[in-house]
Amino acid sequence: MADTLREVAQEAVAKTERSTFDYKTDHGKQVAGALRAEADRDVFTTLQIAAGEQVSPAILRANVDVSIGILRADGSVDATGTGYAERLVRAKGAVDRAEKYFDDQVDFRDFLGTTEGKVVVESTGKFLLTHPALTEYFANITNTAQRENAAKLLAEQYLQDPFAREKVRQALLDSKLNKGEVGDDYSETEAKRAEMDAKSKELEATIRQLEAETKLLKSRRAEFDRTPDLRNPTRIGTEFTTIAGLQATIATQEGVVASKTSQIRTTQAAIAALRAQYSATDKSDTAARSSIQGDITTKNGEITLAQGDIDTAAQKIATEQKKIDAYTEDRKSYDDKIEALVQKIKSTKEDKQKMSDELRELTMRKTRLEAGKGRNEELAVAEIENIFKKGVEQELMDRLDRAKAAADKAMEESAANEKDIDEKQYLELRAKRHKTADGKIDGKAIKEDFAAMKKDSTEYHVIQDPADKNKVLIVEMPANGWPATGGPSGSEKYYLTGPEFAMLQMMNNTNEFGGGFMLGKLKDAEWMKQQSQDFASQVLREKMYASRGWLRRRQTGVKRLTSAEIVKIKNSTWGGQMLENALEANKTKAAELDKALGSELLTGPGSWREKLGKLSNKQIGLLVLLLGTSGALLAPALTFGALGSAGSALGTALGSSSTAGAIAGGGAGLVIGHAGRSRSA
Amino acid sequence: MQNDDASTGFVHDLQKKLLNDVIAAVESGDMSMSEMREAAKFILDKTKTIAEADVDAFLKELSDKWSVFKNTQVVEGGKAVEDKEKEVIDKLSAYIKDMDVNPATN
Repeated sequence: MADTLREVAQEAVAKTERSTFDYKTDHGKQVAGALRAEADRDVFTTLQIAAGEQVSPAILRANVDVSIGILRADGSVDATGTGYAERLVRAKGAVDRAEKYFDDQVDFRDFLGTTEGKVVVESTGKFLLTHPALTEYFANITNTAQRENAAKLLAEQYLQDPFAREKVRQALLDSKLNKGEVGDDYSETEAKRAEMDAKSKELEATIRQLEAETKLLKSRRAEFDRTPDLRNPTRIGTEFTTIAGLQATIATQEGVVASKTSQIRTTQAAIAALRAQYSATDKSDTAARSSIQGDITTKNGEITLAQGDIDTAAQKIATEQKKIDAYTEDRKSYDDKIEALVQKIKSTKEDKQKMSDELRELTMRKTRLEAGKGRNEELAVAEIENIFKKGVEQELMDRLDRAKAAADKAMEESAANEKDIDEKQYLELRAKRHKTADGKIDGKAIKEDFAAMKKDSTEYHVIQDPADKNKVLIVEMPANGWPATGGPSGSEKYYLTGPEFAMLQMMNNTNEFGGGFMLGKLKDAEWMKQQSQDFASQVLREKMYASRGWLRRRQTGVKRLTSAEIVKIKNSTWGGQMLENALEANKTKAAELDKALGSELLTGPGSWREKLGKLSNKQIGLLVLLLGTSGALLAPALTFGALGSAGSALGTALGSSSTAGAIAGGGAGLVIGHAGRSRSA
Repeated sequence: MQNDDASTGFVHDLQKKLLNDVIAAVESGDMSMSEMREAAKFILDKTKTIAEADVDAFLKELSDKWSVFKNTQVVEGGKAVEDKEKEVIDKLSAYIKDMDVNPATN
């Protein structure tokens, strides 16, 4: 399927052009009118529009009219004209109504109630079904009907989401949907950076290996030197010793050769003298001549022996020289190898340096994109809500219903069992705080308490209201601090967290508590901590309950928990502590929670605070939902159903491999700790 | 890229005339959307570097491809001949005037 509205529209127009049905009159007039209007401004641009090289919203709109007009209900194209006029009218109405909805002129429910609204939802569902970002999600739903239904439900959520609304609105005027997002850029940069990081590490390993090889070769090469180890100057290299030995042998044999050569020369001189003597001796003196001849023969024998010694020595010299040559060759080979390795290390280091430079740039780019990522995370949290809404909704909603009913009951029982009249009154107030007189959700009270709860911790000046004994006067410290003179006295100042302030405001607004009671409680730091923590959990639970679906949000006016609020809760002293305590009480299910979150952080080392710090906003959002739905964020001594299928369903919905079935069976009473910090200033 | 003469010169006038032909043809149903895109691309492509002397051939090629430009080809083609004749007459006239003023140079 073409991924742009523009291409879809053009394709539709092309198909109808080949048909026998004359659709052209109306469409042609619209296109010509658009071109004429544009031509008055710029001829060249108009030609580009006519060539399809630039987009004209008016022509796109005309094409969209045709494209919707020729589509049958089952998505096939009808280019014959049967029912065309009816569909075209409907299509035009749909676009008009959609534009009104996207321009905030029509409420979504009213829009959805029309035939045209249904067409838009259906079309959006088809679009979402083929959206690359949702491929994995829809691939997990193998049943066609279920998949289409999920897409339709998602489309309803999608069309109401502010970001998606803006996207669809733009899509009606332009083409590429969901393209060029910061998040895409961020993901691409991060993927490239990770790839480069891995390559850089590979190069580092290569360098380390090459350096180890070089070191080994150098150590072997050093054995050819007299002093291979400077730290041990007395040790002489092994090969150096061997070569020196060979050279000494050669020198000895050369001595033998010289000595024997000299001996031969002397003997030859003696032979010459004997021959002269022989000649001078009278021939008749045969005895004398025979004796001389015998001496000559002896001398010749001596020469032969000496020559034999010379030959033997020369052979030894040649043999030893060959050994020396082989060692010299070895040494050269080591030198060559070392040089080659040094060059390889050098070039690898250069490659790594280039990669490091690129990595640095990518890291900087990634950091820059972090800013834009926040928007995407917000979108991701909105997506959680979408996922929350469909597929897993019933199980989670039922669970939330049960959790709330149990919490309400526990609070009522707690109030009934309280002996102290003031405490009893306070607990009763808490139990009915977020209900209207007829027992329905009081969205106004939830919103008021949640807004107060979100306030940063600061000092307040709290005193008895002189005009009303049931009220106190509460003044927040100005942003630049209390005035140097005339400010409140130390005993009238209280440092309160958001939930503590919310609780005080709630009591004060009822007019049912004496000022003395409230001032007394303000000085009871332990009570303030405990009760504000419980109250924070209650408000959070009520908010989630009251905003759990589109219809409920519409009835109560309570908005969904946003990513910014989740971050605020996580980062606040009381909120972080609340999550930590819930996790501590729920620690036996850490592995299952990890599966649902797609992380290994909760079961890993470190404190809960450190672990929470490592979770992404999306994971924190899910954690709040999981803990809230399982009852872990609810009031003390309550028992609820297991995380079981909720974790599993959410895990599956998020595309994790979690089956998390093992979570089932938890249901322990989860006690919320007392994280609020209260002190008299 | 746009021809240098496109914003003010003859190319602009030519493009405007042809665009009017396209709009009229689309409006009357004589030209389909795909033909409109193809013709507009052709016009943009050819007029990028066109010289005045090549206009006649271009218009002939254009009207051979799409008959809706036939009228412009006839009108503009005739105008080109007229323009050429006028140019020759102007040059001759200037030459004769120059002869009258500076007879010694001849």
